[in-house]
Amino acid sequence: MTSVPPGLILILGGLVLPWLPGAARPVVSLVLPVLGFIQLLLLPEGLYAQIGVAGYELTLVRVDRLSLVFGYIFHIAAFLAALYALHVRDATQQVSALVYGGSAIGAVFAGDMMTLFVYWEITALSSVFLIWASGSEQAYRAGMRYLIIQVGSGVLLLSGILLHYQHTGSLAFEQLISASGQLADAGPGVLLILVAFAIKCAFPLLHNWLQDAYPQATVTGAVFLSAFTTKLAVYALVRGFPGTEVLIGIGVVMTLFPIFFAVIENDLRKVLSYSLNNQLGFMVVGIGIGTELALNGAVAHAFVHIIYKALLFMSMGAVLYRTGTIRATDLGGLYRSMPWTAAFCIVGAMSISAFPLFSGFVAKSLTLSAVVEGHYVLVWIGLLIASAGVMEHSGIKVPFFAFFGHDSGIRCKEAPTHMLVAMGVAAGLCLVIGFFPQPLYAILPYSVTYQPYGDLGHSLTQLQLLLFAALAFVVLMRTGLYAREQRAINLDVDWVYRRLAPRLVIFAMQWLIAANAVLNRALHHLGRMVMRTVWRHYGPEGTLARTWPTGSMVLWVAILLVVSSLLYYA
Amino acid sequence: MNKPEKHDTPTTIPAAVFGWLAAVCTALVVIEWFVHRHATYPWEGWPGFYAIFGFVAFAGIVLLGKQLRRVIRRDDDYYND
Repeated sequence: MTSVPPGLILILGGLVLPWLPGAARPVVSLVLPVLGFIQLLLLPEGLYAQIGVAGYELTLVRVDRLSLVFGYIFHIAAFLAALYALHVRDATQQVSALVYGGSAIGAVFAGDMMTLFVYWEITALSSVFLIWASGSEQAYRAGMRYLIIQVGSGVLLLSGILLHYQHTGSLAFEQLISASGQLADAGPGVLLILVAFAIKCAFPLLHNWLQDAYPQATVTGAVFLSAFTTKLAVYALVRGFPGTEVLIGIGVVMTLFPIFFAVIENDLRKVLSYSLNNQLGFMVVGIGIGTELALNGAVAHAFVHIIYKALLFMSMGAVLYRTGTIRATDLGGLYRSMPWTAAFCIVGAMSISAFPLFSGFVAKSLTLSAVVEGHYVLVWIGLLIASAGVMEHSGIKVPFFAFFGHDSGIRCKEAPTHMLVAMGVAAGLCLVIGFFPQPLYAILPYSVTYQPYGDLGHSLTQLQLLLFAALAFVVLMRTGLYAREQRAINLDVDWVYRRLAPRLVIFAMQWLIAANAVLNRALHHLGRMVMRTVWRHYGPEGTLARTWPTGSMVLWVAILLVVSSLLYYA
Repeated sequence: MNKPEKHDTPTTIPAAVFGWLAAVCTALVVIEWFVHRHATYPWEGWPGFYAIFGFVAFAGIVLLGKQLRRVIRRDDDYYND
């Protein structure tokens, strides 16, 4: 089993799936991640499957501590999401989910960049079906936009790889940024590769495919989507660009700007998408700092984030599944009907907010102490504000407007059992990691000496930050100052390509048509003028076309004769 | 611009919740005096620094978000017409 590249078990299993009986498919989807996980446990570190293709040296599999930790969590996510999707009978979704998860796993074990590129594109092509499976016109269009942007990121990646190969003669996927961490020292190939990663990691201004597409995915599809694509990009950045200084600033902006959009967003799955963006920012800051502690923080954050973000998407998916809506304006008071879902959602919310004894705390503390160690004062303040922001949108807003708040009058059934079990396991993991962080720390790329609960003061100040933020929420609600939920959408960068660009094209077309008409008219006019002149001179009435009587001809000849004889004899 | 949604049962938070939360928050600030805190930056050591930071940051985010809404809010079917 160790000779099969990781991820291939899921991909091949997914391709065989449509030929299996319908009842067996969900079970197989559940078993394959378990088999893949066992394979990882048996796999010693090293390079495997080194082959030459068309003169290029490829390393299909590289097993090291960094790829393993992402491999573990991707298998866990694939398992939890498959458990949550146990009721789905749509073969398209089942196949695409397995191929998508498998290719993300394959990508983190890719030893060279060509292999990475192939898996990179398969994740894009397979995942879009999880969006299209919703079946609505909106989902189709959002999926199209998603696909174009994702495949575009792949094209940039390939161009970058080829330029880089030309420059260095190497395809190995190793640290691409020089030790100085300055972009100025990087070649054009490396810069293109960074842009490709940046798109998939939803950097500011390149981010909006995420909030556009994920809320349009199916109930179960969003859970898969939340786990793989962006975290594959985080892995790629940790591998290729550790210590790239510019990432620190980008990361801070990334933690901050989505929180304002999340405050005023009505679609709760879109709130979670903005929240996902904000969490990626914390990881990008860690990658930018690039010390062992900071990189451990980024990886640990990705690990715990996949679990609690999947949990939050599961709980909102369950609400959408049972009530048919996910808009905050239509929801509220659902704790009566869905108490378990509400409880699991709160565990996810407390984890992402980084309450002590929850998983977010033990991961985020690593990054924050790396920030303090490096004396990045402004970054530290930015991340502290962002932490209050996480408390706002994911900690309070999502559970409050779905399960509490005003009573929407909706009385529905509790989520199906398999969904509850999936959420329960995810919530359990959040708590276990929060209570006992050592097993997680033990699988991080670098050794960890950090003790999250070693300093009681740290837990206390974190609790103060979060609970006073909650107090601010209560005060704002009671005074009517809170940003009430509104049935509306908010513009974001996608406006540029959904409205501005089409409008510019239409405007340009209209202008061209008008210019064309003016030109036509002018030409027509000119033609008429020319013809009129010709007509005047050569037409039937024209001077040059006149028929002259013979008499006048004789007269003129006589006159000419007289004149010439006068001139001759004079 | 539409008015905020009107609900039959408006969203309120009971005074009791406010009271309990305020009590817990007060307790957290009091406990601070008895716990050794490792402060890297001088302002971290100020009493109630994190408490005030959390409250002000949260309120600031919400109030700024409302201003952002005035600029970017559109009707639900904005992209559908």
